Order: sequence, then structure tokens, then C-alpha cells
Amino acid sequence: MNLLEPLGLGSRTARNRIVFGPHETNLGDGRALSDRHVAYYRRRAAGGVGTVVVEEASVHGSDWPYERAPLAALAAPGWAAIASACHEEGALVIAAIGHAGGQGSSAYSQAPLWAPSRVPEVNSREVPKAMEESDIAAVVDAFADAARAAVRSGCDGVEVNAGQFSLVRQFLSGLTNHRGDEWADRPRFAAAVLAAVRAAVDEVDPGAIVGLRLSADELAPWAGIVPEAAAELAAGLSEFVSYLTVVRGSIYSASATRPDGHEAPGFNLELAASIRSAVRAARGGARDSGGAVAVIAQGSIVDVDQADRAVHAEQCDAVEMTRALLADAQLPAKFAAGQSERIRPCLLCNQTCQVRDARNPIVTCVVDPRTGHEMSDHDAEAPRDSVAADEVTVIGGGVAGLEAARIAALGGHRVRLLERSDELGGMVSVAARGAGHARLGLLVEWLAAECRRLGVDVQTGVDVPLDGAAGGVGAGPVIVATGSGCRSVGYASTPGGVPVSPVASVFTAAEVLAGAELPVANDAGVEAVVVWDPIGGPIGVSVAESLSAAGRTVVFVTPDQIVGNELARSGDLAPANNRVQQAGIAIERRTLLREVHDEEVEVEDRFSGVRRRIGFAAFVDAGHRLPGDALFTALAGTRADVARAGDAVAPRTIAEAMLDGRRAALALDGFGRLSDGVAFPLAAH
Amino acid sequence: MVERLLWSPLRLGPVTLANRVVFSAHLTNYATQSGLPSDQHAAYYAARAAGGAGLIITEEHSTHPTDWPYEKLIHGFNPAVIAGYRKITDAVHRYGTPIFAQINHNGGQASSMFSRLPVWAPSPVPDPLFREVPKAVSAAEIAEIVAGYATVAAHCAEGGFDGIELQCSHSSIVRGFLSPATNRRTDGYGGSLRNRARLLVEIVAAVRAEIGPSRALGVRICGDELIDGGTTIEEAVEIARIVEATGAVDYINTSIGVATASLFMIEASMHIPPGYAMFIPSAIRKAVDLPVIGVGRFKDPLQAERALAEGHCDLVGVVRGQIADPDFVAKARSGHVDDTRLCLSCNQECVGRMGLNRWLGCIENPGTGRESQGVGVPRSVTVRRNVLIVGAGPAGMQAAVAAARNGHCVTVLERDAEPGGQVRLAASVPSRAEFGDLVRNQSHEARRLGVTFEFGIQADVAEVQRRGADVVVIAAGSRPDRPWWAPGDAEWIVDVRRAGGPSASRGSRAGARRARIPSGDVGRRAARRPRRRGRGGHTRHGGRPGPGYHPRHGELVDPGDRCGHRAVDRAGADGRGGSRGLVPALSDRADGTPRGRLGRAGRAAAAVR
Repeated sequence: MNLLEPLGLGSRTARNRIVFGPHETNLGDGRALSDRHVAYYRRRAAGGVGTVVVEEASVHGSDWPYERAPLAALAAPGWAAIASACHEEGALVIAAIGHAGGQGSSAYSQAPLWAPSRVPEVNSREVPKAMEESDIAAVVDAFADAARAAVRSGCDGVEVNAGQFSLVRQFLSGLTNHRGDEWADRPRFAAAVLAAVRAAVDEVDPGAIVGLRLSADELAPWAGIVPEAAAELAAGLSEFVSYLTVVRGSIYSASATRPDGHEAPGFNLELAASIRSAVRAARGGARDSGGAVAVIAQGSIVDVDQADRAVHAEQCDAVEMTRALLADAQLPAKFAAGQSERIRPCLLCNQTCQVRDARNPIVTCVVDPRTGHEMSDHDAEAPRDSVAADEVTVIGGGVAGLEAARIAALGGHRVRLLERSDELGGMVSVAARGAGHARLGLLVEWLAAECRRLGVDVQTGVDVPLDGAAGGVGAGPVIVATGSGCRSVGYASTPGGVPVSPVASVFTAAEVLAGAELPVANDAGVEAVVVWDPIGGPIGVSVAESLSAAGRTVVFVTPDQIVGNELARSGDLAPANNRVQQAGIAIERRTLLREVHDEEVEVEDRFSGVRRRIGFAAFVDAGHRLPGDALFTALAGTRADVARAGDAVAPRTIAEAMLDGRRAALALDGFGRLSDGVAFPLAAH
Repeated sequence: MVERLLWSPLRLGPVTLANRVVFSAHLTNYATQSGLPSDQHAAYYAARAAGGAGLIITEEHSTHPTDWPYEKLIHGFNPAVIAGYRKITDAVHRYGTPIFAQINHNGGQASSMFSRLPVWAPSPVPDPLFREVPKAVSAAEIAEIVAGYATVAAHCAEGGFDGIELQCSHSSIVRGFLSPATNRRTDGYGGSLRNRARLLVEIVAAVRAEIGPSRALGVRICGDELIDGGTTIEEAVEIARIVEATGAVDYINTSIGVATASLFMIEASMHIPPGYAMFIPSAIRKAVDLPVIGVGRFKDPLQAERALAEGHCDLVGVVRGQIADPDFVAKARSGHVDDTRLCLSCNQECVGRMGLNRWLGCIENPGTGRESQGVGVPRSVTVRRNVLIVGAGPAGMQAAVAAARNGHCVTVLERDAEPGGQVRLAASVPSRAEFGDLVRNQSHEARRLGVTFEFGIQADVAEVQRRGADVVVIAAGSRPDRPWWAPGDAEWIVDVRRAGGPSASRGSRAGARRARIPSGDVGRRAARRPRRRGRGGHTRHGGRPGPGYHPRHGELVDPGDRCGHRAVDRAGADGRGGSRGLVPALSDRADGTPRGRLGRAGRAAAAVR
């Protein structure tokens, strides 16, 4: 058995065992599925995925968990368009349907949340209304109606959500089901829903698929679903379904279902295997149609070899590779063509694909900015007619420069890339050395390999002087991607910056990650390293963890109430705080940096204004950086065809560097205009 | 009618206002997903025009595609907005009320999340909220910004607005240039104030050239950014002089704070006394002849009149007061000021929902934000029914008001001797007294509409049946839910409604020393209250990070209070609830470290759900 073998599901056959799982996208038009959804799913189907599971639709009006959450009553036209698009490309289409119950939000509906019992949801802290008998009947009926509508719209089936965010799981769990009536029999609601869905689907198409997404470990063993109970539960519910997707997590572990790269890829495989064994034992491998109930594994599986091995080892029958398919929609096609090494890697960074966020960010991907923007962004990887192939010089071999070189080469230009240091990757390579960030290096490796494959002339150790001449910047267009430089501590906080003693041992986060030797102790014998993190992103935490792992005593100073304030977006907020706390790192919260003395920092409490000093052997600035734009400024003064990208514009994240680099290359061929060297897409207003 | 100045007309350049009350600019999140104004905008502003506002200034319209800090921002640079502008201005002009458009570029107070373009600012200084390093704009880009303002001003003129306001105050690229904290330029746009104000002067000229003499032009200035190295009142006065010297501006509006670093002062909560920002228009008005708008918690017309009479300002901005009651002006003007639904400055549904990307509403007025759906509009009923409502908390009283307004005959039964339910508790803690205005507003309105209240009645099934009402509404509130680990007879565990009150000290043997509470508002205040009374307050709450606070702001728990962040209640060593000797222990959520116990010696009044 391998990943590329077809998989029978109901009367359907998926062409392979790779699944694009259900996830929030914010691509909707209000609560309806949009044309953007269609383009998004079509692109994955065209890339060869076997099965697409569409973003979950709420089955009932009592559920409005996030603003753009699709609503089944409005979803039929979108389901039909997606099914038609993906069928053309050869993929099966499943409609995810669900109800978030007490984990929803009353902010949009302005109505009470419905849940099995009056247990306040631990994250929103809102007390839901315990569902009455008529509410339960209405939701069961709504599941049936949604399933019927989905299959009528041309979907191959439906997937019922009993995963992390779901009313069905809330009924299944002792954490949230405290009822005293017949629904205290916890599987009863799930069985009622699945029976109703199965019957509704069968009315339309008896061969259509019913799947179940099940949290098989709520990571709350005192009352939650544990793997042993889940196996029994799965076996019991399997009579209604063609497949089971095994997930973990619930109200106490929101970040455990889709963790970032700090969690090992494939963390759920053992759990999936145990459920698979239990289901096979219970069902004797047979469903009425003769097929077994397929078990789909999930959980940071982003590497095709790992997925293939899991199928081969019969840990599961198929694999959800959702984030990997955001990073490279062509993953299945490349794998099938024996070009695994050409698959653009998912970094498991979660920085732009996790969009359960009140601001409604559009799902996208740091390594493929076109993800989620299929309707508006030019397909940079499609063949294009370059007006006249130029000799293009890219200065800087960070990810912005590499992406610019790659896209320019794809456009038919002859490209030379000049990197000052001996190593490619710039700040991304540096960041990849920090604790928990090793996967960032995969992007650099991939970009470098693609550039080589496309014939880019990559030269390292070449320093281009400010006039550009000695480095041989040729007559053709130039893209400057020279990254960022450090700035004086506190540049941003006051006009004069924070005063810094000239004899203090001050390092930037980049210097520390690059392996700088820090003094062991100061003259007073203090061994602590003070890390100042005014950003709250992944770098400050990573630097502190790296230093701690190397045996240093670390004091982490943040103006926020919590370590890594901005990590909520990627789901690493709670885990990062756990790790930092468990490493014994001292945390100075809501604290402002006021002055760096010889061997101590002066800090101020944000609320009380009280100042005090903390001694250090070394002080590490994990703050913002300044653009390294000197070369751009010098070149732009002499010629017009100079673009810039990435941190040389403004030091930001990998996502912006990749987007800038791509746009700078597209602008060479007229797909954009330059403003002060920055490429703006023509599609913008 | 005592408010003589408030109801007197005033000219702002070519536009004459009927009175001095301004519904000034504020975010609503009513724009569509694609950045267009909506029918809800039109209905919302029209309701305030109908209620008598002297001038309406809309929320900001973005002047350039690089400016998209939040999803539902009106993209004024997109010509498609003009049709929506016409709907808004037509709806407001129906009442003879002038309406201006505020136009703006948020500059560095933004992220690239929505725009997917670098953020533009004078210098690469990241905003403390968005934390994204902006791109320093070039000379050509500055010209593009100026041109963007002119383009949007033209769209606004074509859309029927009577004037333009430039937001140069709390979240603006113009503020970014004006402020030494964010402008580190060394060219002609940085350094001296004259240089830092150059962008503002250029924009004023470009916009005036675009709109001509028949429309008004105003500039909103920040009087104190409340940030290190930022603009303070002395420089704000100089900026006002520069604005006046252009000869192209008709009025000056004011504000305080920066939308990202010191937001809490822009729309101050009930902790901050009304009129707290009066020093700003007052100082500016002394320096310039242009009419000046003062803002900052104007709760009632008398207060507004006093500000005018004392010469602090020429106009008053009343935003939240008119969010809560669109008829703020009409009621006061007709001598029915008592009928006004006073704003509480609770900030929960107006300010609080903005950062969450949700549409603006009001906890007191369910019609706010849903004017276009007709919510809150009285319906005339054909059958007048007897409605019995059990409970005179906010839900019961709102039901009573709504039913009585529609013509039904309403009786409210309340167990206590007075109305308000748990709102009275909220109003009883320090700095939260204005919650009491909700009780006043509702009971006044209910009585005005003829609702009958019966207090001291414990309604049971027999009592309700005896009254034979056509419709019964149960709004009987909630009851305490003892924590699962609480021994059944532990008298040292008290409900939050008693914690800190007279009964708490009686109810617990050693007085209220510590309270373990969820991190909600009432809990935090309740923990604080005993301290104010001279006892040791000790709050333990889940450590969700709060909004940015500032040393100059005394909002959060007193620094002396020890906060048990991230503390989780764990059962005593035996792990079972129920034993009389059980003592709750607390442990750290991150690493499980024991964080102390609520000891018998302390005999805490604890644990409220």
C-alpha cells in the first residue's frame, strides 16, 4: 500500500490517499462560499490531491463561530461550483458540516451559545445555554438538511465534525456533557446526528460518503475523551461512516490540534493507528458495500515520505496534508512524478495560514504568497512571455533575493545572484539556528536548489560596493535585497533611543543566534543574560530558549503581560509560555527598557512607573531592525531600473520578504510598477 | 431651556450649524468587506441627524491603498465609494443636517496584513501595537499621499458631503510626521516643527484646491500624545497656529492620545472624569480665532453648555452620548433632558467591539448598529396584551420598555426592593458608579411608558398564574454556582455579590482578605474593593493579557495588589472536593509550580463563579 494508490470511499474512489482537510479560510463572501473558495480548491485539485474537504459549514443558524463561517443554508451554490471545479481536475469533494456549540461566539449572532450543559467555555469564558430537547432535535435535523443539500449540490459526501471545535464532541465529552437526561449517554447525540446524516445522504445517493472527524484524545484525562475510550467510540460510530479522520485536542488544548514546528510532525500517527486497529477489529473490515472504514491520519504531516510510510505501515489509510498543500498545491503531482525534492516545504510556522482571528485575515502561506489569493495574484510560476529576456542582477541571497532570482529565472531571464556572505538565506538561516525553528532552513535549501535548477548564477562571498561597479552590476535590471541592519537599542521608543553605556556587553538577537560568544559573568559575578523583546514574536522566545538550553541564566524582559504576545496567531502562545517557564527563564512582564548601564539595565513597570535595575553579563536586543537600504539608495541615484525587496524595504517577516521578492521579479515583465523601488501589483486599486 | 450657547447656530466657513453638538468621527466597522460604505452607515448617521445633531462627521475614509489597518475601513480612494456617499449624505440632508467626511491615511499605525503592501510612514519606527517596521516614504511617495487626499476629497465632494475633516490626530500619517516620536527624517519634512508640519500644510492646500470655497475644511489635532517624546499641548498650539495661518481651514477639532499606544485615553472609560481633555481646546482656542471642537466624555447638555460658557471650546463632540441615544439633542432641546438614555462610558459594545472587527453597537441601545434593519423602532400593535415580567434587572426592564413602547400593558415583579439586579452590584464598586445610570435610564423610561413595578414580590408559579397575564417573560437572573471543589458547608466561600460588602466581613470569620475570581470586570473590581477599605486585596485571575495601559493611567489593579497570574485552582492534597478541611491550592498554569494556598489562617473569602 502506498500514498498514491486509489482509495475506495463509499461508491467513490479517490485517485490517491492525499487529503486536503477542512480548515478556516476567511475566503467567504459573508457566510456564503465564494469564487475565491472555488479558485483555491481548484488549484489544489489541479495539483493532484485525491480528496478535497471544503471549509466547514455551520448546519444551523444558532452557530456563527467566526464572521465568515460558511452557513449550510447559503452554501449550496458554492458547494456546486467547488464540486464541479474539483471534479474537472479529478478530485473528490467532501463538504465538512458542523456546529461549534459552546465554542462558538455570540458576537455575531447576538444570541446565546448552545451547548450540552452550562459549562463556561474555557477560552471565551462565556456561559452557554443548555440545549433543550427541541434545540437538540433542530440541530440533528439541520445536520441532515445540510448533508442532503451538499450531496444534491454534487459533493461526493459530507464530513461531520466531532473534532476540536464541535458540538458533537461536547456531547461526547465528560468535560462538557453534564446532562441528567437521556443525552447524558454521551455517544447518543453523535449517533443521532450520524444516523440522520446517513439517512439523508442515502435519500439522494446511497453511494455517497459520510465521514467523521473525531477528537480521539482531548488531552484532559480527568474527564475528557481518552484514546482507549475513543477507540471504542470510533468502533461504535463506524457503522454510519466510510471514513474517520483522527484528530486530538479540545477546549483545554486549542493549540494541540494544529501546532507549529515545535511539535514533531506526525504526532498523531500512533493515535490514528490505534483507532484503526479498534475499528477494524470491531467491523471485521467490512461495511455494507464491502469496503473497510478508512482511517485518515492528521497532525503536522507535511512530508510526503512520512505520509507514504504511514500508509505503507498501515497506521492509516490516507493522510491529511493540509498545510503542505498550502505551501505547494502541486505536492501530489510532484510526488507522483518522482520529484519529491522539488516540493516547496511547509515550514510549520503557522504564521499566515491559521486564520481563526477576529481580524479575518485571508488564509495564505509564507512560502507561497499566491495561496488564498488565486483570483488576484498573477501566477508567477506559469510560463510568461518576457518582452525581452534581460540579464538580471539580484544583490542579496536572503529569501527575498532568492525568490526574486527564482521567479526572474522562471520568466526566462538570465539571472545572477550576488551574496556577500558565504552562506545563502540571510536572516532566515540565522533564525533557523534558534530553538524550535530548524524547519525555516528548509525554505532556504529549497529556494537555493530551485535557483540552481533554473540556472541562476549564484555567487557567494561577493561584496557589491555602494557604486555597484566593482561588483559587476551589469547593464540589466537590478533587484536589491540586502536585508536589514541592527539599530541602536530603543530607536523606536524615544527620539533619542535608550541610552546605552559604551562598555556594556550588548548583542543583537541575530548575533546570538549566529553563535556570538557571550561573556560568562560581569565583574560583580552576575551570570544572567537579559533578553529584551519589544516585538513578542517568535525570535525573542527562540533566543531566550536557545540561551537557556546552552546553560545560561536568562531574564526575559517584555513590555507585554505575557511572553510572545504576538504568538497567538500561530498558536504557539501558550506552548511558548510553558516552555519558557519550564526552562526556568525569569520573566519580567509589562516592563519597559529605560537605560542600559555598564552591567545592568534600568527598567520601568508600565503600570506603576516604578524603576529598578537588573544586572547582566550580556544584554541581548531582540527588537526591530532597520532597513539595509544604502546600496539601493546609492544605485537608485544613478539608474531607474533598480528594485528592492524584503528587509531592504522595511525589516518584516518571511512572508513579506517572499512577496516582495516575487513581485520585484514580476515587475521586470510588466506585472507591477515600482514606487521607490518597491513593486506594487497592478491589481491594487 | 437653559443651554443658550449650546443651541445657538455657528458658521464653519461656508456651512452653518443649527447648534453646537457634533457627532464627531469614530470607527463603526459598518463598511462592506470590499471597503465600501453601506446602507447601515446611512441609517446610522441619519438617526443622529433626525435626533438633532448640529453636525455629523463620518468615520475615516482611507486616502491610499497602502493604508488598510483594519478590515472594514472605507476605501475612499476607490471611486466606487461615491454611490454609497450619496446614500449617506442624502439620508442626513433630509433632516437639514450638514455632514462632513473625515479623510485619513493611518501611516505607520497599521500592518500590511490586509494591504499586502509595505506600511508607509515618515521613518522606520514601528507602532507599539502593530509592531511592523514601516517603510520611510520618499519625496515622490509624499506627493502621492498628498494627491491621494485630494482625490478622496473630490470623491467626497461628488458624494455630497458639506465638508472635509483631516484626521491628523490619533492615528494618522500626518500625526506621524508631526510627532517627534515617529518622525526621524533629516529632509525638509523632519526636524523643526515647521518641517514636520509641511505634509499637513501641503495636504490642506491640495484639499482646499480640490473642494473650492463652498465646502468646509477642518483639521483634527492631537493635544497630547501621552507617549515618550511625543507631541504635547505646547506644540499642539503651535500646530493650530500653523493651520490657521494657511487661511484655508474653517475649524479645528481636537483629541488626546494615540490610537495605538494610548488608546484608553481617546475614548476614556468611566474611570476618567468627564471633560478630562478640555485643556486641549481651551489652550488652542486662546491661540487661534478658528472655531474649536472639544471632545471627551460629554455626558449631558449642561456639562456641554458649561464648557462653551467657560470658553473652552466653540463646539462639543458628543459621540458615545449619541450612540446611546440618537435623540440626545432633541430631548434636551425640548426640555426632556431626563428622558435621555445617558451613556455609561462602559465602552463594551462601541469601543470594545472595534478592535475585534465587529460592528459598533451599544449595551443600552439594541437599535444602535442595526438602524438599517429597523431594530428598536416601535411597532403599533393591534392587540394590547397584559405582559408580566419577572425580574427588574437589565433584561427585564428592557423587555418592559420594549413591550410598553409597542403599546402593551406591562407589570414587572421584582424580589428586591429596587430595580437593577446585578447592575447595582457593578455600580457599587469604585469608579463604576456610572453603571447605575443604566438602572436610572431603564427605570425612568419604563415608568414614563406606564410600566407598573411591584417590588418585594418573590414570584413563583402560583403567583404568576394568579395574575393571569397574556404573556410572561422570565428575567430572573442567575444564581451562584459553587465551585466543584467547594465544601458544601464552607462559609468562607462567598458569592461575589457579597464579597467585600458588609455581609462579607460578617460571612467570613476573618474578613475578606483574598478573592479567587475569573478575570472579568466585576471580579477585578471586587478584589480591589476590600483594599480600598483598608484590607489586603489579593486577586487571582486567569492571566489573559489586557489592553495596553499606561503609567499615567490608573485603570488596572493598584500596583500594590499582588496578582496571581495564570493561577489555576487545584483541589487540596487529597484531590477530592467536599471535605471540611479542604483548602484550595493554586498552581501555575505553565509549569505546575504550587503558587500557595488559600490558608485557613487567612480564611479567605474566596472563589466566586
